[in-house]
Amino acid sequence: MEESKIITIEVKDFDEYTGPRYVTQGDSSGEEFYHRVLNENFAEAFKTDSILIVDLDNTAGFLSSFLDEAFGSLVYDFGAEEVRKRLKIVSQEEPDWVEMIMNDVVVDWEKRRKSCTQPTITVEHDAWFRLKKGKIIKHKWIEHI
Amino acid sequence: MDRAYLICQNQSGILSSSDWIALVEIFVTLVFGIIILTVVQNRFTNNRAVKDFFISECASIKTDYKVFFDQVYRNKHSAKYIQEWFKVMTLKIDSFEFTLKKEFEIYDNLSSKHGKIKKFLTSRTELNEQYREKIVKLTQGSKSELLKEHKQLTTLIAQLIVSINKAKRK
Repeated sequence: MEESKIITIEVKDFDEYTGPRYVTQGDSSGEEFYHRVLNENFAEAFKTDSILIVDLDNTAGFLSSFLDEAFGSLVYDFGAEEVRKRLKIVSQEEPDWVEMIMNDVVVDWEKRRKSCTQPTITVEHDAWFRLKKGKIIKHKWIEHI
Repeated sequence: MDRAYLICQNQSGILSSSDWIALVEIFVTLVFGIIILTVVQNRFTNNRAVKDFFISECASIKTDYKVFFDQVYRNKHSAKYIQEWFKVMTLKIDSFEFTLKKEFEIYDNLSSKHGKIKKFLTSRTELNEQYREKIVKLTQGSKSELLKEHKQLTTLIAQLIVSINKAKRK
């Protein structure tokens, strides 16, 4: 049996001091992390049939809103099934965040995805990936008003 | 005393074999008594010391939370401080629970309650909206919820102290 390839990212490489939910609320937000780091790496994991490991440790903690926005947006763009299949979140320091993301955020945002309640974009972002009918498409899915 | 008395009753002054048996029995009983007393006492003292340590840790967590809630309630902290405080407390509580469960057969909900409070407070709109500010002003609604959480946490810690007192060492 062939082992899955692994892509690892550490949130501390984005910033040791992570911020609030939206870009307009403060630096290093969940929205920014999603659009700058998470979306592209998850798309890469999808394209190369890999597992994406996200390490939450060695930061100065999180607001749950940061994690909700970042990982919730991922569920919105790729769906809960694909996220559960390809995403592994690890944390020795705050394992309760892993539990919250996989048990609450994934479930809540899958409902949101099904009801087409789009994520809020507070600034203009470059085009990003979304899974549509099994194909990965890069596009500006939501326009900033 | 009775046996010693009987031994003294031997008029010849030489101890008979039954006297020797009685003497050995007294000695053995005495030695066993001392050993059992010492072991039981030591075990009790050790258990008490370990329990006292965990109880003082509970009191420390309770005080940390009390001071923190009081200051958050009075709008004295920034969102960044709150975020970092929760990380430090998560590490402290996890380490406490890990050691507690290693020593005693106790299944508590402290870390789960802490996680719930952390999630509740760090998801508030006020913290996100005022992330750049030096202090966060919570709404009255959030403060009321916080008081409820504090009350539940205090009750949980009191129950945990009782459980530690009743618990058996592994």
